Amino acid sequence: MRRNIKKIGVWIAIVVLIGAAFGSGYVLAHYLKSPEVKEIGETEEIVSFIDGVGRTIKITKTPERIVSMASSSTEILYEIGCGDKIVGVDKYSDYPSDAENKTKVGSCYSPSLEIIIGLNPDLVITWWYGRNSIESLEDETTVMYINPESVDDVMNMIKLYGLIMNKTSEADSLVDEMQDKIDNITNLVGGLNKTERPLVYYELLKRGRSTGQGTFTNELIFMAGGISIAADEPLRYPDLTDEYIIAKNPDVIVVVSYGAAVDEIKNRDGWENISAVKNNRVYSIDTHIVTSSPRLVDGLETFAKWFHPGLFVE
Amino acid sequence: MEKTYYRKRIRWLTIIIGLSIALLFTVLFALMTGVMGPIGNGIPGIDKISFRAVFEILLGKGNWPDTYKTIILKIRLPRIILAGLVGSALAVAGCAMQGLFRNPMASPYILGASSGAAFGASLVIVLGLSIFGIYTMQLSAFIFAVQAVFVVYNIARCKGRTPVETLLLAGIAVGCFFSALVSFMKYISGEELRSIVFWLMGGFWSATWDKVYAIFPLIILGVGVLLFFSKALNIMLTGESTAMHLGIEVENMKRIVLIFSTLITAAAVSVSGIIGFVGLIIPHVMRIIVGPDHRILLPSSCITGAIFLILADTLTRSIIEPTELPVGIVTALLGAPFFLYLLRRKKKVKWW
Amino acid sequence: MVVKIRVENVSFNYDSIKALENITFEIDKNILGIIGPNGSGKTTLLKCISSILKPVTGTILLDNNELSTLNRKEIAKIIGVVPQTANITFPLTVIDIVLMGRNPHKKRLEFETEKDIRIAENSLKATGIHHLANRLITELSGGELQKVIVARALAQEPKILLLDEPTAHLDIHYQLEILEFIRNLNAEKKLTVISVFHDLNLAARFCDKLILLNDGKIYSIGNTDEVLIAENIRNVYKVNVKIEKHPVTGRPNVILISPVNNGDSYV
Repeated sequence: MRRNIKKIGVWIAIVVLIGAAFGSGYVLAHYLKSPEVKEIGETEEIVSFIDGVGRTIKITKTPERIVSMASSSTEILYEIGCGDKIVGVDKYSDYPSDAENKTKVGSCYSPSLEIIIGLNPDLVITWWYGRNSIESLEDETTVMYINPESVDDVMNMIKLYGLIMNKTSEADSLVDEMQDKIDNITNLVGGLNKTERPLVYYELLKRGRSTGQGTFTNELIFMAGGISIAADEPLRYPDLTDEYIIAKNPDVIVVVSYGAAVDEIKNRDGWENISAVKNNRVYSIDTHIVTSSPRLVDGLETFAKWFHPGLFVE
Repeated sequence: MEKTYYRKRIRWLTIIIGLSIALLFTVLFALMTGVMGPIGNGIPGIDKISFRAVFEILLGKGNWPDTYKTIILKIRLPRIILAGLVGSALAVAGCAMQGLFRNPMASPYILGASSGAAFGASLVIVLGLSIFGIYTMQLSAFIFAVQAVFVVYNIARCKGRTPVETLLLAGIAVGCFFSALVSFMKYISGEELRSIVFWLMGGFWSATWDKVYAIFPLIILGVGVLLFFSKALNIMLTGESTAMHLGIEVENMKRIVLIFSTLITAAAVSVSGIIGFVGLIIPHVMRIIVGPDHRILLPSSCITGAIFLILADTLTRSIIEPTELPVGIVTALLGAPFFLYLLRRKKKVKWW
Repeated sequence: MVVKIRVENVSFNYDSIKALENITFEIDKNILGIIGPNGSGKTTLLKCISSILKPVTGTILLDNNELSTLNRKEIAKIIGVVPQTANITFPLTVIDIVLMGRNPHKKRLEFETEKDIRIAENSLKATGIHHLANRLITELSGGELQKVIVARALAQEPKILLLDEPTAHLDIHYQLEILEFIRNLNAEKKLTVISVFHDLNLAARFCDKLILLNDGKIYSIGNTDEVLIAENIRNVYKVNVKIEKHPVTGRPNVILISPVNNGDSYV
């Protein structure tokens, strides 16, 4: 009997512990993943701000040697004219092509700390989810983690790099240019109500895997005048069943360029009656333009042309 | 006969001293190896570190760039020590578990420590927890690893006895349960998925002195305690009731060996992720080389585990620069063929 | 220095199944045989005495020390056990195995001293397998292995030797050889011996006293010739036997006749 009570106690303890971990996790996860706060204020430093994991970063001197482990940041830095300040990049930074000449430091998941230190950088930029593998460098140099989750975040990030790199005018004009292009599109399709928007099924690497709530891709789809069939799915990258997709009957199917072939999708059993397949509106998109970089406007324009071929003439 | 025994002890001492020297050379070799040299490809446009620089930095002499000092003392050294500690811990824990369970398939992970740790880590990764600062993930992995084994032990316990078969089965069941939870975590994860995958494959790219300080005392204590039980483990090989007849408090010993094996396994896994193979194979290899007596088997496995994992980690740093291969891949790629070679060569000896 | 064992009112259950009920007996310096049919509780009784199982009620006294108050090392200095089979499947040498018998006398990290090695060698000599000392245990025959196990028990320098059908799997040569050897030990070293037997003739030949167990209870206890009578065997084993005097040894000799059928009446 007493043994039983002890066993039950053990189990309760486990359940409570897991529960507590989940509970506190959701609170903290929300705090962490909410759009990052950017208190950009001029002080005696050049700039201080809060990065994507909630650390306060102070920049006291314009960085001269940057390691960028986020391809979108690499692009922004090139766009505002700081490509020459980059000394190392991650293996995914391939745009503009000059980035390929930089020393590679691995991926943000398993970078080579030794190469990074060897490059003697004064600023290291990486994704928030790569922190585990690089946190030991936080004492050695300035490490900033980025966590852009929306088009607004990207705009703010460009401005932030402008401040950090002392290139505010370049950054501002880049932002303005992007904003113009975005406005052109949203002026035409921003006011559309739900029924006027084509339903879009966006397929990632695997059949059925799509983009759910709060993803950058879905924001772009919406800005381009469409709406994702998985827009309300709570998982960020849900696996949708065939049944679900066929029932939703998307008007447009977009598949990432590293994913399935367009013809394969058209020939899937049971998909022949999906509106997008019947009307031949299945497209493959270069994912480099659906990312948190300045090229997102290209992605936006591509989407808009596919979603509203009548409104946007080539 | 006394002479034979005397000779045996000399032989054991020679083995330990020999392995220690090999360990020393391994550490030195690993310290020399890396992109920045002296043994390495170097980065275009940046000077490689010289052999002299490495020695002088180690001795605290000479005027070398801070970059060099950081690379040697803050990147390579803690990483090597961490790999050594983890290798020792896994090999000793594996050795003790195999002895305790009298089962050659036993490994440090057999009672669910790895699955528990994987769940603990993925939980933190997916939910982005940071209750205990930047080491929340390590702490969570450690806690869940220990907890998984604790649950297994309590499930298997019945009337003051913990039959080995029940322990193993409970371990497999609880392991599956936690693995399912890990899969669930992977499923609901977004960009973090690859972090989980990388963690599951194990590696030392995030080694820090803090991590070394955190696990050093635990692993030294745990390995020490297990060495203390080497004679008892020998006797356990003759069966549990015989061990009782020969004066071993079997249940007591089982509990202590399990506690300390689990603690060092959990400590190792929490800082390195799940590195397979070391805990399973090193004890077997050493059993083939030095024999089944735990008094020599445990300490020699301890040193060999360290050597093996340091070498494997050095390889991960230099095979496909700049990206690092997860060390778990290297341990299996290196270890499996070598082990099979030994197995074939020593086929005549029934070593279990 | 003879240690006297007193078993008082010992009962034991496996869950709800009664295995032993109120066993009481006393033994010193003799060879005591425990006999009885399968499931009568012979091995359970032996396990209680060797402290593998804890009796539910009753006490076992070694001289005046209660068994349950002693730790395993203390018990192992007094009681040596030879199991039915030793299932050792790893390649330790014979001397290593025998030296394990010294464990109760050693501290945890203590290495064997010359004295331990001498004792181990003496037990090997006594069992006649000194020449096997450096052989691997996995290379030995069943009979040699059992001698190693006896040697290990002797290396414990016990006062009491418990044997659980020690010769069950051996050929007749080894059966007699090992049992003769144990009989000598009993005579020379005043070792108390308690052994479980299946073979009634072996029991009759080697034991001074016998306990006949039936359904966990003592059916009969006493000198060998008092216990081994045809009526007892018929009632407990359900076998008709004829007991004769062995023409050479003079011990009782059991001659099997036929199993008792349910229809047979026997009073």
